[in-house]
Amino acid sequence: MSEQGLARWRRLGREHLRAAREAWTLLRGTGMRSVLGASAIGFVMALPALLFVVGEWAQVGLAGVDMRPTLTAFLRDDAAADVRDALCERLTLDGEVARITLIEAKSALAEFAAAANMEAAAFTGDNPLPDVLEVEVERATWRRDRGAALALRLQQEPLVAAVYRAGDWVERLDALVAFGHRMLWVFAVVIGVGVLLLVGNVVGGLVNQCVDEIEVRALVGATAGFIRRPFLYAGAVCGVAGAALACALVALAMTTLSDSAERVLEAYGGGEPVAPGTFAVAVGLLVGGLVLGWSGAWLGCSGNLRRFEAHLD
Amino acid sequence: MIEFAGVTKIYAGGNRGLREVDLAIAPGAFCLLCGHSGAGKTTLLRLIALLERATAGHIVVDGLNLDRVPREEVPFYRRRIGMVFQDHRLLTQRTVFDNVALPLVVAGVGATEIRKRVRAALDKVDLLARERALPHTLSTGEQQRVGIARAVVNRPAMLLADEPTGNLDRVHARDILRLFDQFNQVGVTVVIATHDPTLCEGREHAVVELRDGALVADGRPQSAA
Repeated sequence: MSEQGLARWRRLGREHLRAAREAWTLLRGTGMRSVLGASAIGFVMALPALLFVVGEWAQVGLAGVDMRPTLTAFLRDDAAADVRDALCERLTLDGEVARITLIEAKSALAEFAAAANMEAAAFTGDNPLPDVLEVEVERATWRRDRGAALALRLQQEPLVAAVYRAGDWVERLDALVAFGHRMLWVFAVVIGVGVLLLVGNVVGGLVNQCVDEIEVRALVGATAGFIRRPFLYAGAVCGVAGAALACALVALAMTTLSDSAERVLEAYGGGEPVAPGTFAVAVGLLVGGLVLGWSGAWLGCSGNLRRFEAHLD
Repeated sequence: MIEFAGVTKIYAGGNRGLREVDLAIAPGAFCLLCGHSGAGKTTLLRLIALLERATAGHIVVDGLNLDRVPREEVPFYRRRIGMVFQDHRLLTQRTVFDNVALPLVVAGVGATEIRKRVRAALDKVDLLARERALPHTLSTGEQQRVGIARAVVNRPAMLLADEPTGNLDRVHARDILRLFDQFNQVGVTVVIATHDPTLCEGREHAVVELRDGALVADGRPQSAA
């Protein structure tokens, strides 16, 4: 690198160091106000982060729960084994079908007897239960109308006596989860704007406290960037400090909620609540805090600085 | 060279700051702008420093038409000018050294060079011993000298002073004017606005008199060259 280039980098480094030092002085000068501002940012950011973590918990914890929608086809008593097997084979080729399980009448009876705590042999006479085909549908492609169409196709098979559809709840659950995801984004956007305004307000206050200094700097030839930079740094510090507080709050909430979450997941047959992507959440919060703090400071600064040069327009 | 051609300044609300002023100040000149309060002296200085823009007419400084200086270039133009104010405009939380160093910090000058130049400027105004003091511990005259040191530390080609002796007694006012004389003798163009007629009397420098925003007398400033 040329000597000139090096000098430029040195000057840039010096300038940013100065801005950082001045930002620190600014924040120290405002004391409690900055602390309260950063705390407010932290609490506001913690809410969507916590929702995200709970969502992740649910997703990871419920991953082991079998939630594939199922159609149960009760076959006619007179169904011959080869015709029944041919039907199974044909259904396997259907793109929407994930798996087919044949539950034969005698094993169904044994299962029923076991559930009723008695010997299957106790049942005298004919087995009243039919052969059953349990058709599991691909969850990713499941829609209520398509499930109904598949049920209708099954119903039209001469071998099938009746079809019971038990997949609608999955669609409802999926719809709820999608709604939750969408709500999370809406929350994130609303809260993001709230953080911007909060930081803008805090930094606007800092700018107002430094009116004399800003004026003198402008008089001796400071550029808008030079004047604005310490305030941007201060805003970024507020944002990151708020995000760090949000991380701590989320960690605290996770510790407090983990027992209850474990019980809920156990009830649904899911796994233990893993702390999913804790590091990613923390990084996301810190980067988000930095960006929101910086942007909010830009907002708070620009509006206030514009009045110093308004007469030049 | 500072040239005003038919310059009018009307403030928001219709107040007229200057009325069709034609004026030329040669490089290296020492020019006193005289007139009562509201005569337009400060407006004239603010227009030269690009703290305001003219409503009509043209101002050219060293060949640069100020109408055409884009907003983002204004700070760089201001670095070529030193400004002194009646109320000093010192930063009260900062030491004398830091106040004087500000134009150099703004210009991105290195720490060693800053130290050297600030100490030289403070030595020139006889305040080197007070470099660590805060402005409010200084007398009014000393504060004005700090203001002058800040104005000259970046070696400007032009010094603009708005009522620099307004808050000073006659003895201190003479001291301050002597300082301006010294800078003028090394080639700096000095333009001082004052409402004190006795300050203007008997001086060998050019005197420009303003009344109600109009130029009423113009003793053409002589060049130092």
